[in-house]
Amino acid sequence: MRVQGPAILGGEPAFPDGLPFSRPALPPLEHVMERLRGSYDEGVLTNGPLVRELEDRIAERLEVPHVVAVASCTAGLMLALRVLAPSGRDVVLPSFTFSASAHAVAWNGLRPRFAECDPDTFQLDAADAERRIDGCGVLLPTHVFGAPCTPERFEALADAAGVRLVFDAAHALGAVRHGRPVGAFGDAEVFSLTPTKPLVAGEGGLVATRHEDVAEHLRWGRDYGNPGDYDTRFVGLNARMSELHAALALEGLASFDDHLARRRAIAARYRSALAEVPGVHVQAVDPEDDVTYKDFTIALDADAFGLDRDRVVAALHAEGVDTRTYFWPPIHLQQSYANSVDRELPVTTCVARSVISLPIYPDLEESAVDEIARCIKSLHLHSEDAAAFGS
Amino acid sequence: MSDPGADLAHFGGRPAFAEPVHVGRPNIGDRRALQARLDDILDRRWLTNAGRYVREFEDRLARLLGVSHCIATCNGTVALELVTRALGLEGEVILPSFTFVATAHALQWQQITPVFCDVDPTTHNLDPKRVEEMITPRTTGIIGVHVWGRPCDTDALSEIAHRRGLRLLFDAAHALGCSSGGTPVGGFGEAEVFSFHATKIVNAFEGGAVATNDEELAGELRLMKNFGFSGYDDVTYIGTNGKMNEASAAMGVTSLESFEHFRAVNLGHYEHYRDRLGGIDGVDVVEHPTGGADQANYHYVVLELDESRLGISRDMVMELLRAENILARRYFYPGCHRMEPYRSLFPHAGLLVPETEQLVRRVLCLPTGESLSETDIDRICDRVSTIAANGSAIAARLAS
Repeated sequence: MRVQGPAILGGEPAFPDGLPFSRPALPPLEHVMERLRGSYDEGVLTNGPLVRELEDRIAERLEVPHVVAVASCTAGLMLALRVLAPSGRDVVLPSFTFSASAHAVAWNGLRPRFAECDPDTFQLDAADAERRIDGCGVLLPTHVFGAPCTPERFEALADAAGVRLVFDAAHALGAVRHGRPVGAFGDAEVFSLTPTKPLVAGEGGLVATRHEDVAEHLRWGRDYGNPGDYDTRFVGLNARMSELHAALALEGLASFDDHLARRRAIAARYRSALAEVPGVHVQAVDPEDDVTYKDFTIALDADAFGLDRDRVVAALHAEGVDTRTYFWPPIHLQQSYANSVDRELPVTTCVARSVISLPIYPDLEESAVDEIARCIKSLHLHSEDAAAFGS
Repeated sequence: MSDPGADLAHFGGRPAFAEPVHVGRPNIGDRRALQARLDDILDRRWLTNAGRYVREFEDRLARLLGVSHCIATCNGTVALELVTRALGLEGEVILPSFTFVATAHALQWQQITPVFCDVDPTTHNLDPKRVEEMITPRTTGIIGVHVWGRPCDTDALSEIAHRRGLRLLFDAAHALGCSSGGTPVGGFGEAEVFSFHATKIVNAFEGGAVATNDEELAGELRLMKNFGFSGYDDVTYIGTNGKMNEASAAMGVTSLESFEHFRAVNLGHYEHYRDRLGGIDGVDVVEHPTGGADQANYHYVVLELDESRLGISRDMVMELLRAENILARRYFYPGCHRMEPYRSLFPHAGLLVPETEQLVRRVLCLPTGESLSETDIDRICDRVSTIAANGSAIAARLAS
């Protein structure tokens, strides 16, 4: 008979075999191989027709004139900033984002200037960004966890401040803002296609832009800055996507919408199951937006819940549930930026200390979602005992 | 008069000194007393490991500093490493960039991130307001540095450390014999670290020490500096070899005996420099307290040169003095944050330490110490005065 109560207090683990945090939903291998065959037989492994096809299909989907495929989202951000950022001017971005957002700034020799996030949506706080934007050249918000970050507000801010606007849309391929696909906002939006994302190329990224000249420079930039005559126009990268990666992504497109719908259904199930649990705040999103739910993230109010974030993570681990604490540490507290940025971002620090990302992927079963929610509720009910545990 | 500054050595004149005059030329003290102690060490064949002279050095030091424990080490950097480790520092530690690079290295060596904080442009020490801004959840401690021997704002730093739950220690490498508010340096924070490097007012050839009133910390440091041996064959702790040897300790004891003499010589030199140079527009002599309640050791004679008023840069002045065989030195140019590995790790660190970025371009240390005579100082001041009086013209001539 199952011993009752949280596993951390001696109960049976909810998932004795463990439940992974993420599991890529991949197309059948033979389909990928079949799609690759043409390029492969021609000996075209890079700069080939599959990459162009992927770019065209995504451009059509995002309703944006230009999409440039690159080797990774990080490389895409580096190139977008190389092309768009005025030299020597700082870049405003959230600290509550993945480190690559800031790394792309720093690799361009620019200084990241971090702004606070909103405690409910986890998105860049537009008012705080505005306070810090003087003298900056680029505004770089992130669509955090695949929820649109009210991009039109940042378009207004960037226009008023006279700065370029690039979105880190790593999580947000498939997101829609009030009927308008994410991808067409600002001067450029940069997506990721790594295995944790809704659309997977293995490794890879996409830069979407409405500017023809920006697209052209991005194409040069992913090829060392070479427009074709080997007389490089600026210092670029090797950031090309290979045909193999494009083949995988193209095949993934077939089930992409199903997978997005599945993620949204799982998120909705979590949302209703956790709605009444004291101290559990699910990321606030606009009901009129389509969110990709690259991650499903809650913020835990330790006082109301009765347990702090790290204990809840440990307790879920004891249940066999693998979680992440995205984005802890926030970038401004990471070692590589210890001496580079202003250190006081109390809202961001507080949010980042409280977040837990729960498992979400297309083949996660509804029963597993219910069970995870049950574990969290049970932890709240046993919080006094669990708080004493290990302290 | 012909060309201004034409008699400067740089322009073909005769150098002020035939031999180089250095900053930090060692004080030797009583040579015979040292030789007698070295003979005694050799006679008794006790060369290191808690020998008589190390214990004597530690006792004398503790009395001078008014603390209950002094632990002598082979150098100041190792002392800093030992005490940061014993205090359990990790994550990030806040320190000035305007310090000798060893302060930062001692942290980086132990995978602790040094977080460089700006200084107050008048005191040259950590600015407590800036310190507060650099604190994050990863911060575990603050290292104040008593630059030029002038004590930090220890009250403000203690208050911050207490309120934010941080460890506080001081790098007192410059500050032997100095005091603040009647308390000798040595008794502030949880521990203070001294250097007895050859260039310091008291030297042990190479040497360092930790001063503390914390008995438990002192015990831990004693274990740590000797591999963790708490008895013969009994290792109870992870340690290293941070011991001061007997010959160094003998030098330290001898040097300490002459400390008041060295201090008096330095005071005389400092006052002489101040009298000669203090009135020059564009030259500020960094001030040390004289005659009041607080003590100084006057071991650093430091000028702040204002290029806009002098018409000539600090670096040009330094070059001109070098030609005179006056080897004046920049300190701590270009700031730790601009040295490797910090420059690569934190390429934008300079933006957070604007005062430091200015200060490292202003300061110039002049020779002092027992090897220097008043006549020497006059000659140095003559040259500085000549350069200062004709700054713009000389700068133009150098540029052409």
